[in-house]
Amino acid sequence: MPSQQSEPPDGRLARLRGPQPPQPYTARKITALTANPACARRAVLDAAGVDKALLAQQVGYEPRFGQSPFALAREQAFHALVKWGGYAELIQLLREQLSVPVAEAHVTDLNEVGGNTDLHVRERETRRLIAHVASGQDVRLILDRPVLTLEVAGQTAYLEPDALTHRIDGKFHVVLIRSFAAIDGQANPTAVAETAKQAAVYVLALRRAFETAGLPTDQLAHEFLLVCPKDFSNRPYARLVDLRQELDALQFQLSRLRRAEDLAARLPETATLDTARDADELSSSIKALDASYTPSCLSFCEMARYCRDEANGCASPARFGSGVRNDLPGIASTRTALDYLDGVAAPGEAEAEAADLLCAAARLRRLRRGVA
Amino acid sequence: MAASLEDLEQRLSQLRTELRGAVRARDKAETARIRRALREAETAWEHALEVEAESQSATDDGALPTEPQASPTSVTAGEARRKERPVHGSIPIREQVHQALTLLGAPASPKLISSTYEAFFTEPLVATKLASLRRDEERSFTAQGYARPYYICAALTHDRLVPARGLLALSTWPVERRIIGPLSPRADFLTHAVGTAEQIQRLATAGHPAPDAAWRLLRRFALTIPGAYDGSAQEPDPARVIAAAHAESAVHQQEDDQQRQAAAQRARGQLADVQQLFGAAPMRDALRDASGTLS
Repeated sequence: MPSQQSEPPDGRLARLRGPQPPQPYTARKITALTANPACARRAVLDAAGVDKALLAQQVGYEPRFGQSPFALAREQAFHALVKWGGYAELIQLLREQLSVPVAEAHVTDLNEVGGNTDLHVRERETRRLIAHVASGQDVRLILDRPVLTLEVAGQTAYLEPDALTHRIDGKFHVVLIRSFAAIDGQANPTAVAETAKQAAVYVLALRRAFETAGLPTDQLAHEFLLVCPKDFSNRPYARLVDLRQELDALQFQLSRLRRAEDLAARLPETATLDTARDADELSSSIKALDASYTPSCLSFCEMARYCRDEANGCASPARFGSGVRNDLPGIASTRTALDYLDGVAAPGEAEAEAADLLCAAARLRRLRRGVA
Repeated sequence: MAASLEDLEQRLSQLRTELRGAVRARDKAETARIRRALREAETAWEHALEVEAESQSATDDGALPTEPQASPTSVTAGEARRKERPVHGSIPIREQVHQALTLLGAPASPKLISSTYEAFFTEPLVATKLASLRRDEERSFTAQGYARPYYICAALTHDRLVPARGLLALSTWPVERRIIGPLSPRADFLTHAVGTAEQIQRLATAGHPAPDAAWRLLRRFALTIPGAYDGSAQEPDPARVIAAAHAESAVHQQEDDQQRQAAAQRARGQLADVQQLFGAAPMRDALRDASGTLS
């Protein structure tokens, strides 16, 4: 999967990346981008297909997290279990919990097409098959690892959901297989939310595919099927999870994303994000891209520690989280805010209201300290 | 007689030395010849021993009644040792795969093949070793076709007749059985379940209880076939699994058979012998060119 190359980003973005092979656009990246749509840095890095982990390492910020090999192995083992014996477990889940008739057991493995694993070929085969199934010429219960495309920030992303199933109420459902356990029907809510966001990306991609093929989009479900281990066993468990909210949020965020190419065009001509170059050169190019650091970046972005130090350096209020940032509208730095409090500088007209609130808060704090 | 016993013993040790040399040199023909000679010498030696014991007991006139009994036990022990020998020698991997596939009755993934083999034959079969097996078999077939009684070959996809991803089959099966259509993975899965259950039944009738691993495998099958297992019993009932699997495969059979037959007919018409066994060449190059012009 990761060795597959997505469509080469043309022109400017490709030049920025240099001779390194591009990294594919994944659902994970898209959700990260929509979680922080103001971050031009991440938008350009992802659109150019730069290896962010390597880049962070080059500029001296070895990413401390990453995907744990144990978690990956667990995920793979659970995938293998669910798909074991001609998708027997998945078919059983669909039958038991979603009352799919026994006669439905048609599957197609889209991991390769005629011995070919090329993404373009698989994408075309997926489109062909979906069109056949949607128009009723053919029947498939499960499509294993189809390939869908989605335009993100002016770039084509190739997405591979774990599976697609057609036969729940005659609608297409995205199936995601995850290895976090559902204990008494309750899974880790953060993990489910993260999975739902990724599923929304797949559903949206599917919707685009239907629109381009001129098929009725009411065949698409706004729910996805989450398969995870049941309780403390290894038995799979499946539930439909509603996606309407995530879909709306995602569509809104995607429409707000500026085109990565436009963002890249503003960079100086000498800028480079080629991971083989030295740290100073890279650092100056990265600085030219605006980041919008929030503490939550630490949990999903490889560049987060770089951005955090940068935010520390310019005393950005967002360093303390979105709460502090929202309390200081128009004040770009905590140093300025402190200056207002100490009376060193007078707030301008735009900042007056925020500064007043800040002074009031400071007075309350002083009073409390006096009492205590 | 007594002298011949000593002679035979000398010959035996001489043959064993020769055998060791031949095995080290990996000379199969020579090894087989020496083994045969060794076996002959052994029987002769045992025979001589018996004759000697008999003549001795005859002279002692039943003074030592335990002696004649002792010699037959040594004979049976020798026979048992001889019977054990093929088990001790490692079975070639293709043989192991052949046994597992025959048992399963339909094209299967290396993982299932190895877990089946290990469940029933209590000997390890490393699934990763199977990765190159199909290619090796194809090479051997291309070099000297049909020289072996069977080949481990590929299952074919119903649309493009290329080798299906990650499935192994036997060349002795008709093409229909090796075609993978949309319904075939499920149909084959049911066949596997029936094969496993039948083997357990066979072992039970023969008086050998099936190993635990085999029951675990059957349980795994049973859990995903409607009506095959109710969860209350400790072990699934093989007869019930077979009945349930047959009931479900009857639902799929007609459509699956049609697709298989149509594809098999095309395969026979379009493909050469090698391709019928190992699949048409993947369409890699043509498609890559096509995608190149598209992007």
